[in-house]
Amino acid sequence: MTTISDTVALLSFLIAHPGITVAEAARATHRSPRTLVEELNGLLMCGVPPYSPSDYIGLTPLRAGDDSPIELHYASHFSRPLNFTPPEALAIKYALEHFSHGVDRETLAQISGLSAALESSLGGKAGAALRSAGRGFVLPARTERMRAMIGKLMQASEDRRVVEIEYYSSHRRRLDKRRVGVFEIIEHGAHFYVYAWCELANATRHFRLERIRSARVLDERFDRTPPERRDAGRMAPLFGGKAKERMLVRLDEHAAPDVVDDWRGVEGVKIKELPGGRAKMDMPLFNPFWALGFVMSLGEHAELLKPTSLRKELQGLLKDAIAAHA
Amino acid sequence: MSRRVIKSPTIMGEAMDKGERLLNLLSALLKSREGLIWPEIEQIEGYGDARPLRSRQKRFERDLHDLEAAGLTITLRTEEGAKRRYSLDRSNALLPTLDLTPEQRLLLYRVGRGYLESGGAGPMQHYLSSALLKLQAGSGLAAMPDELPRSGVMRNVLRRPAEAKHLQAIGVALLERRRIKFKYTDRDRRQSTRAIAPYALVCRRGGWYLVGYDGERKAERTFRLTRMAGKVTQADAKSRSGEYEIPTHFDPERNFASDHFGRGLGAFKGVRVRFDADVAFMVENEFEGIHRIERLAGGARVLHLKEAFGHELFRYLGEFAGHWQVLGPRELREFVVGRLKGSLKANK
Repeated sequence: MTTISDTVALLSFLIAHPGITVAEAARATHRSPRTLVEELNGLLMCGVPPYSPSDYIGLTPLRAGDDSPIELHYASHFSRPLNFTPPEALAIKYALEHFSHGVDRETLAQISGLSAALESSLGGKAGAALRSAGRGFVLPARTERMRAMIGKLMQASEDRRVVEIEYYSSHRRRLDKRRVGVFEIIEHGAHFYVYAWCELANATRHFRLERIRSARVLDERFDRTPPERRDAGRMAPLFGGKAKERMLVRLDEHAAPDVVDDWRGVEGVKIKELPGGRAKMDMPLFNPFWALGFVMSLGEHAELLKPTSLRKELQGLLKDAIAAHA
Repeated sequence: MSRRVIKSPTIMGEAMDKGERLLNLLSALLKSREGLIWPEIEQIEGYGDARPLRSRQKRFERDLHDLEAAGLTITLRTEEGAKRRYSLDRSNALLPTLDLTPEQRLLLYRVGRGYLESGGAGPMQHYLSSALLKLQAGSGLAAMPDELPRSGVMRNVLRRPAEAKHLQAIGVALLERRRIKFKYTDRDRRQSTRAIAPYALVCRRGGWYLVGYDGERKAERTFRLTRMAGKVTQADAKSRSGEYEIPTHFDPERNFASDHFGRGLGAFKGVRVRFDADVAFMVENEFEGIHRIERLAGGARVLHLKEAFGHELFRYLGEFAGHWQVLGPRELREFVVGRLKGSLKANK
């Protein structure tokens, strides 16, 4: 939904960036070139009385594939964007607060500086909303070492360097050294994943951030570009794809309500509610290690029905865990 | 370069694109220092068509309302001869000059990329998008770096698909400060309809909880999003944004902590869990500097927690199957061993 406020901001952005191309403007404003061109072409009919040619907004003809500079005429009223509304002020505050959970110390300092600059500059209702608002989207604390790891991996990606990581694979159940080229870091659910090219696998992989013990940035250059479509590989079910295997779990009336609440609506998960408040869950099996933990954490309230091989593995783990507490 | 073809001023204003008409009106208000009277407004494309005068004036009033919703204040002055003059309050109409550094602008770009391009902004999407655009537009001439970063951290406020719809509705209400209502099933499976002023959303161990003010009970209450049924709607469909204010000293974690394993009534105190050397670094990755971690000979670690709910801790331990041992307190150890034995019996 494009509002009058967005339209004016877009005009102001173009006035402040003379000579910018469609592609650059689209990238800087987080739009597709096509969306940007549609929005801009919609402005061509706007003007003020007495409607002489110079009273209309004029733009060079635009196409999404254009690489020539955007020329904008008559828009002097819009050299500054409209002021913030209170929800906009709150959105930027809450987004910065949320963003700060996944950044290194240096970026954190920049966020503080930016927040202070906004609080002191904005006036009116928006300024008041910004200064009086407390926390809006509250997340659990994240450790300094994980924030630093995110910063290091992102810098390596910017500098196009190969990184050697020590990674604990839940499938192999051991630490391995791998050489990777980082494309992006992705937040999914409660975790961060490093999306990278892995030389060991000769394919893209998602590495869970907490399972990286160390990361060493090498002098070697990494020039591979990410695939056009992100290949989630073994993690595909987690990111919305299809699993090769499935697991079937029966939940008793104590576990079923909460577990069903948590998993209802998740792609690929089938829930059958049974008499007496019990339930059966048929779900993608993307990670046996995770699946064992999931069933084990529900104690006597969950029975792993399929696959039977995993059930045997669960029995072994439970016996070991009980023995450890003897 | 092309110039547009001039349209006839008699074009049907209702048929005209509303955004275009609003931009025309705003242009005219910004251009006019002394304000506009109706004969001047009629000259603006979108208000001078052949429809009856009252219909066009109503259209103009609706458009004024939309401009006010965009944060603008339009003042109305009645002059001699009952002439009504509309003018824009310029004092707060435009974004003040912001001297942001190139680093801060780059940070804003990263925030935009992280949330808007990943589709992870959830309820913040619309307002965050317009706020970022305004900041990039209003923070100095051509100050964007020549080369924008090619990678980034793609963020996502959504935790569980099952709570997506509720998070969207509650998050927007939180930004707009609107009261909401929803059907809720509590832990004892009792159902009720609640009307709440959202104060904050708190995330714990993978899910969102709403903390808000319950006017009927005259107290703050916490609600797990996955226990809300049906649609979350505005408590008063006709209300405008800014229905309530959050008390200045409100602490979202006063009654409901985002601590990884929770705290409060029913939590185990003085918890100690030992982790094997091969997984110890993962515990440090998650908790170093947040909880005390004791280093043991051979590389094992003991995680010390002041408080933890048994089931929340057990869910975390499940990820390290076979690599941990609860050392204390005794009651928690018994709880855990009971769970393990129960699980073995259920999975024989």
